[in-house]
Amino acid sequence: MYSESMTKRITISVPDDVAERLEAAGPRQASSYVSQAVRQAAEREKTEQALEELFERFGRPSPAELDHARRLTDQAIAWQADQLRNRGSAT
Amino acid sequence: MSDAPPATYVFDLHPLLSYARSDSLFVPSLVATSLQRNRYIAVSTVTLAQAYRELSEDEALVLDMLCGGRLATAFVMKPLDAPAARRIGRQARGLGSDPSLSTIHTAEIAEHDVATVVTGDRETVRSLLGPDWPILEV
Repeated sequence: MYSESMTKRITISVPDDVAERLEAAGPRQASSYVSQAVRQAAEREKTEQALEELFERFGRPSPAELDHARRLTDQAIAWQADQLRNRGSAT
Repeated sequence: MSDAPPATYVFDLHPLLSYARSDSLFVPSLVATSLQRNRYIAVSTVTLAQAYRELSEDEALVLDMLCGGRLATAFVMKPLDAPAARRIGRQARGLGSDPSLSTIHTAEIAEHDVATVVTGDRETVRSLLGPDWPILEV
């Protein structure tokens, strides 16, 4: 069974500016930075693949259609955040 | 109610049918922008079952993608447990006419997650959640 505490030591090459940041952060923090960055990249990749799958099946919405949907989604997110804030302050 | 993450939208039956039948690009656009914003869309398992009942075998393949394909990352299925079944059944009886159990469960999920409802039955959702609740009609 996998456990979060399982780790593996690997050697990678990175550009100078990245190396500088990782060295400044120290070994423990550097591992955490790299793990987080790789997980975020994997998550983004999964999202992009899902979007491609969606558009392959339905066709690609026009930029105007996507803009409209993005506005609606942003409104829904803002309304939700507002409501949750109000619920939080009421308790 | 399950421990699934909160959703920004809850899809009722009509958006699921529209999605599966490729009626328009509006619903896929909402799914795409939710994915881009790292947000979930909740679907009641009652709604899912009802959608499977109404779709042809080919159309239903799209729903299979929601349950297990890469698109599943955008969706969170909300099961109807026994206490919720009791609540929504009683609520349906109290509403008198013939309200869909999936719409009532959808409204309950929306209230719990503070989510915008996407539905084809604005009137029922309004009567359950009040006049100010955000609803997108499909």
